Amino acid sequence: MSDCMLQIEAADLRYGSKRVVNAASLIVQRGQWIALVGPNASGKTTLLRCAAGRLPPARGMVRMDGSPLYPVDAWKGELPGFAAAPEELPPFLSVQQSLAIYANAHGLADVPAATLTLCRELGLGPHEHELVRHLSLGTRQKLAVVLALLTAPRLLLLDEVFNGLDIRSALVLKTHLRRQVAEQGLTIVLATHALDVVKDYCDGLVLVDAGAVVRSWEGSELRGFSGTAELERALAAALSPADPGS
Amino acid sequence: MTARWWWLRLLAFQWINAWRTSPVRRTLMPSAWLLPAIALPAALSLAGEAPAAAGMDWVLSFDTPLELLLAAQVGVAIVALGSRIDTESWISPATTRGIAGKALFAARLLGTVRWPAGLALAALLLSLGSPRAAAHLFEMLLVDAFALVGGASLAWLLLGQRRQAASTAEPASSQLSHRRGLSALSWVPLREANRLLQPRRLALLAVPVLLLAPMGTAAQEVLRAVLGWTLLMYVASWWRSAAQVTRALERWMPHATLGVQRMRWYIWRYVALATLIGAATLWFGWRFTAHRPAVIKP
Repeated sequence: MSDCMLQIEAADLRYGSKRVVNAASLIVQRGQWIALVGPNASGKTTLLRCAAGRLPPARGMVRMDGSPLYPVDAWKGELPGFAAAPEELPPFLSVQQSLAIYANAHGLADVPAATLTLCRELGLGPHEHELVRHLSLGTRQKLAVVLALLTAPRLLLLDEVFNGLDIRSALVLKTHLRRQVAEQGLTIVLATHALDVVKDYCDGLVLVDAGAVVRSWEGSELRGFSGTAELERALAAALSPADPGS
Repeated sequence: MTARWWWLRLLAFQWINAWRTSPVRRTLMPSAWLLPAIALPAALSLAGEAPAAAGMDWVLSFDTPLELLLAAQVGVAIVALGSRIDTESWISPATTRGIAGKALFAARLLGTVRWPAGLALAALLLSLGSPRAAAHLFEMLLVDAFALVGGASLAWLLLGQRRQAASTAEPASSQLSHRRGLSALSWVPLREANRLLQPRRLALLAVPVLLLAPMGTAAQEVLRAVLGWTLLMYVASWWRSAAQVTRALERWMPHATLGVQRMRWYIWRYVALATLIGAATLWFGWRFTAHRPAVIKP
């Protein structure tokens, strides 16, 4: 079995005629937690959607476990867990219904006990019967992550999931994910702006700018930064200067 | 400052603020009641016997639609008052309000029956202007009384339903439990349609049917049309909600192992069943009521 969990090779990604990602290449090793960092609208979410099997590349190749992911209908393996944006969650379902329907729709008879434990740890218990439309952003964010983890995927794609999370829930989630990586060999790709998470929890960092992968840092290099301020300065220096006209 | 005065001050500020933010609406609202309830009937009454009698005949020609509209208005107004009291009791419990609070509650309760009261006033003014109109006064007051009873019954039903829904919505336990989900999915389109067709919106939807009823239409015919129209609105809403739920779930779980067709089966099965029951009810109801002798208006 190859050590490479996800490989994106010179992928062009488009929404209609608009090209968002341009010949991006990315390799994620099994059992690593990689952060995708970059300015707004740099193509991080688009790369994640492509890796999740939701956006086929116009050009290039996406491989999971060494096999081409696209066309998705022909893919025989297990698809990555993808924490959908909170606004993509169905507003008409309660928390409990969302969990149960997601489990049933993915071939599970019941919601796994581990998922219910994580729900309780994240404080979703009291919101069990509330409709998604009545939940706060942070609570919806927690639900999205719990759902992505429900099928115990080997690759987890998270899109800015720490936004809107309270301190305690963020700590619970970070610790849980780190434990999953260490004990279960889970691979995570996290698009984020939270540099503290990147520095303290991730095994690598990939900087994306204007739809292209600009530079990457290994985990040992990340630990070498004295703090998030130094990491921030290094990232800013690696980015292309902002267009003065914009 | 006592809780009572604090609460009254809060209400006063709310009232002043409402005048400041929408002065035109606040000015027009009382005149929308004063004009048909007092100004127009008084003018007709002063104009002479013939206009007053004609006015009374014209109003009476709408008896059934008018009765249904008034009942709906009273019902919706009482339910709205109930919601407002629930909200305010959170800020200030009813026991702390004293006489002023009780008087305010009585005034608000009177406000819920402002349109039946307006109709009674109009009838009284018209009957003063013409003996022929006075002969129909009892009939008009009967329409009013039926509307009041109908509205109060509607409010009682709606408030009871809401209390029941609130009690079942409370979590049975704070522990997340295992539950099968797909069978619950079948109820979602019906629940969403029910949420969409709230009583206020349903009352508005019934207005075109009531206005289209020709003068002198039998009460049974008007009721039949309103019930049929309401059922059609429900069927259309079930279908619309089911389509929305299908789209949302396919977007949420594009690669679910459960096939698209099976997911659609779960979403649509109760909608299909409810549609069939609705169509059967409409057909049997139409046939059954068609054989009843029509109620001829005097």
